Amino acid sequence: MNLSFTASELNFQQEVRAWLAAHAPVAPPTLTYERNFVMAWEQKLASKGWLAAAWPKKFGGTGWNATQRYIWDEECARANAPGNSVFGLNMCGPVIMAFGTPEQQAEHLPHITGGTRIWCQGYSEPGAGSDLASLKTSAVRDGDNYVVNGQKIWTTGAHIADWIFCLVRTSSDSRKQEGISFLLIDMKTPGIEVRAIHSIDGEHHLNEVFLKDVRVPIANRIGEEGKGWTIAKYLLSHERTGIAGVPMCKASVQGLKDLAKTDPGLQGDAQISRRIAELEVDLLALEFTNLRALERAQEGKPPGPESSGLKIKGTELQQALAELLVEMGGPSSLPWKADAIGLPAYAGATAAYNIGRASTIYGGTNEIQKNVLAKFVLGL
Amino acid sequence: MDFAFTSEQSQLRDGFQRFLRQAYSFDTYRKISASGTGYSPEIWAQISELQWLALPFAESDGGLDCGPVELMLLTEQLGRALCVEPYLANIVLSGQLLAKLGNIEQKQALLAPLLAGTKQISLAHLEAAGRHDSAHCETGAVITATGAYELSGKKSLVLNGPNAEQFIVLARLSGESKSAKGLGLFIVDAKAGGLTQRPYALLDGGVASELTLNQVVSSQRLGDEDQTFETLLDVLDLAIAASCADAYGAMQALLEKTVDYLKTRKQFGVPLGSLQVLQHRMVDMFMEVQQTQSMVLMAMLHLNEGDRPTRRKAASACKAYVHKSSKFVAQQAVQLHGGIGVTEELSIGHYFKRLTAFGNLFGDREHHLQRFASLTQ
Repeated sequence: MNLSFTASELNFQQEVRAWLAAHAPVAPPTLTYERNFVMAWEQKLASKGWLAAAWPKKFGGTGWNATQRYIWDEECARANAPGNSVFGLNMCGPVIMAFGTPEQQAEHLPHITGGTRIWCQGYSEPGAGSDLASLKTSAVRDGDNYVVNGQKIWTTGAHIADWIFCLVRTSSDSRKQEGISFLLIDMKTPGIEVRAIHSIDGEHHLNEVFLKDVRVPIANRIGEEGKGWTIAKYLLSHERTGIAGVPMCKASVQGLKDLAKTDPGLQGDAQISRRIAELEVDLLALEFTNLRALERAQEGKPPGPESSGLKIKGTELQQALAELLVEMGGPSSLPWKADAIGLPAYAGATAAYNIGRASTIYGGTNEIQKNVLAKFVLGL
Repeated sequence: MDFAFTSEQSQLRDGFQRFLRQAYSFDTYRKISASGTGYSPEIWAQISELQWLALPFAESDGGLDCGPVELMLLTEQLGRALCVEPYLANIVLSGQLLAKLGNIEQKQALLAPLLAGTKQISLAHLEAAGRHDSAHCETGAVITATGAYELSGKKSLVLNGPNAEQFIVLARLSGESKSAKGLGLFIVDAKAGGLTQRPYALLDGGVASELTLNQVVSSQRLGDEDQTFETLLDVLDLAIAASCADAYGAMQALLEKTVDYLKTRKQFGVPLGSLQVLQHRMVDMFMEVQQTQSMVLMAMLHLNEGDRPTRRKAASACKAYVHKSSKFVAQQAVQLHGGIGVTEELSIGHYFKRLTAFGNLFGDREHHLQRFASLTQ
């Protein structure tokens, strides 16, 4: 048991740091849904072979071990590199690796590792939020196709996506979980309409996706018909280590500490130092829980109990950090997006705080996460 | 980076667990804690036989050459078993100070019998007016014509004091009462003239005492002035992490007992564990236990490898976190047990008391948040 990096790991750190310094865009937007920007950055990473940082070599990933991935994440946060689109890399990709046919893998995985296709996730519906299994979007067989009808909502990035992975109902006969299938749909298919939903940061991340008589080849189904729920659960339990957002939180803590020194209104404010210290301590706990989970994943073990709380603890901390930044800004947090009063660091702080409230809602609300933990970890 | 325990470490942990399960039941704990002696000579002899007392010392000092990680594995089990034996006081505090600062004669006369379980020694560093601040020292040390020292003042919360044959007393040679400079550590015999001791029982079943020193003569100094205070802080950092591991063990026990109880206890015709509000509370407890484990691991790994500032930060972060998480788990365990949780009959209340004692020992959350903030600004 030890914490130190080996000489080759230190070399790797230097290599990554130098590459990011030379290639990461200067002052990128924190969360962007500009297609050209996302693709340009992902393709730059792909040309270096570093886009699929958590993937095995066999599928075009880096094949990095847990320590290398840790170093990579740290260095990306340090360089303020833009985040990648998670839907292909962290969600759909691993599902295709685990459940896809060789044909499906050959069709889709190179486009994810190459940064040439953007994905979005068609899970939630107006009537199926936390109770996801009650989803109604139907897929009815017609020859070699399914004909899909229904509506998806809260679809992040649908307006810039090439493909969507969807949970659809292929049967209403049995238990509601058993009639669900997992479909990959080309967003250019006739019958798909995307409508924007504007969120309280004033941005366009979210969408409604309407599907009307959309013909999807049966060959685009992942896994067996009716087994979509099992795949959805796999997706939720897979790769929890990124979900805590540790490197991003580290960058936020550093930002808060810098501000406490540079904002003339806060210098020497013991109460603020204490509040920052409190969150930095929480972050250390989260970081080590994450490292334990990463180590486990590296050994090929299924996610252990330590990983189940990562989403809850990680999103709570992200929200607390965003909240503290707004309160440190005080009056400077009132202007909408612009830096009109105080320091540039406060511009956009409120917008980030606002949209940050979504993190405890998406990916299964934290309350749903607790239901899952109670059932599967505590056996209640 | 590697987070896996070695097979030797796993074996050690299994051994600790096996012995405590067999020899240290809740009834045994209750008898020992009710005796007011703060330990059991039989158990102390047995764990000495098992070489637990020699665990965290170098081979050259007669130890097993184990580090903070092994110490953490042991104290975790001590906490889980509600063990009141004065391991922290003797082995982690006094033992480590003697190992780090003692000369050959002092190690032979004091450390060797301590490791053999035939002598107990307590550290007297705190004073009531200083609260958690170890540097707050008004007890004075004056050098006499014979080269000995004369100590006068009051020391507080001397852990396991009533059982100690010697004390290691922190006293001031020069400087103001809160200065970290000008401090010395002195060996004082428990029977020395001018020393009065007021013993009392602690919340967790242990014992401690208040010392009044009135021109008490000590002919033995431990370490020199330059090393004294920083070395004391090093030892306290280790004690903080070891006691956090102890708290982690107690928290695990509380979580398991609470989940088990709520699976069987029925109200409104259903097991309480089927109610969502209580399920979520237990999930919150579970997550705090997991985060606590991570913090203990973090602290031990940094104590093992880090430089001094890193070790200070790690110990403070760990204590700041675990004080809060342990209070939460202890309070909710009592709450979820209901009335039976506040009785002496059940172990729950005893874990609760142990964790309350833990929180206020070696600096509380506020103290360590401040220290952490000042180290990380």
